[in-house]
Amino acid sequence: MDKLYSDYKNMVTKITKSLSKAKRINPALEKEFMDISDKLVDFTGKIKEIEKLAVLGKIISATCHELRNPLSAINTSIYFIQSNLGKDKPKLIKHTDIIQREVDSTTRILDALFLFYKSPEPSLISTSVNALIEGILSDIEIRMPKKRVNIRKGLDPSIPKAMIDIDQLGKVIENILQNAYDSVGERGKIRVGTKSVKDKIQISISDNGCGIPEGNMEKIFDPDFSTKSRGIGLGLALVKDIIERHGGSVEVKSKIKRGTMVTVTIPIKHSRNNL
Amino acid sequence: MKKAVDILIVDDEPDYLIALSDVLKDKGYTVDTATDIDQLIAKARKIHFNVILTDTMLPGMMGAETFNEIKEITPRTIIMVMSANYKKNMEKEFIKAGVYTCLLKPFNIDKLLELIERVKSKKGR
Repeated sequence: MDKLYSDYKNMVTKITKSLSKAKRINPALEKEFMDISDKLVDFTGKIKEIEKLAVLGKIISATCHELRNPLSAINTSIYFIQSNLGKDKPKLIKHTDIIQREVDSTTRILDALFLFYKSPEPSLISTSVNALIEGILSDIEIRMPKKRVNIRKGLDPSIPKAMIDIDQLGKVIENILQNAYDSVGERGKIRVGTKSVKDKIQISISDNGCGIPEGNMEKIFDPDFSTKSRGIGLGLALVKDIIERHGGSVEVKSKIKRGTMVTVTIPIKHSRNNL
Repeated sequence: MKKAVDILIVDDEPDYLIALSDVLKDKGYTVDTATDIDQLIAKARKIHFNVILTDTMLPGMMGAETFNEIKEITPRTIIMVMSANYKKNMEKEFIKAGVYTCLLKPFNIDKLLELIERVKSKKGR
């Protein structure tokens, strides 16, 4: 990026010099020369913006790295304390659980930031989507103990394995489940289903939560859009980004106070042509 | 004959070294530590470790080349990488150089313990 910008600056200097020379030779063309010059100034501004974004990307990447180290020490120390806490210390157990949950939540934010800004190409492995969902559901039930939510599964056992990036598709399912969990009240219902449709697999996650207001529907995939008191709004933007990298699509249907259904469709065999 | 020690943890973050050493000692493993690659190499020449758990951003670290060197010194030792800087390409290179697995910090400690038990129960290790 640095080299590109310096090459571009050299090129602009050369063009500006040539324009001045040409203007001296043929003053009648001054207006055309001015137009080209204005466009160059405009374009330079845009290049500077891109340069700033590239720097921001580097800062985000370095920050993620720097935060993972202290988080790792906290995570490990908490594990040690939890392993050595007697059951006769319920308050201490409760507080170490809180620290653990907050570490996990911060780690998820870093993962989302990293995946969104770095957009790594999916590393595809033939995987059972049902097994991936089962694993996430068992983790999520431990992670979300505050509300009693009824999670029902409708996983079609006959769906074939699909070419997916396990970590990235895992983040997609976690994100959608987290949104569903946040939107339902005490004793809310979430349903997770899979089925195959021709050469694709569909994963649907529905809830009977608060729903998304119609006015917000067009903004839900924007990276800075969030209605939650916590979070950075990257969730669904990241979901869309990852699924499109898998050659798939995401559809969201919602009715206020009735609930939301998110359907993710991915090809069973991924190829560049899917993109 | 080299003395057998279960695990060598290599990291330049002192707090992390203390935390992870205590967790692993608590689970009954014998643990040694190092803070850079020179120390790691020197210890691996003297002691046989079942597992080396190492960070990647360390003084002296030369990537896959370092892991090739460790494997030459102690071919039966399982090397596990733990890194705060995740790059899929780097992971592929490390695995090719003989690294058993790469863990992104912070990772689930129960999963690490499962991995250690799995490799320890392998024949000859």
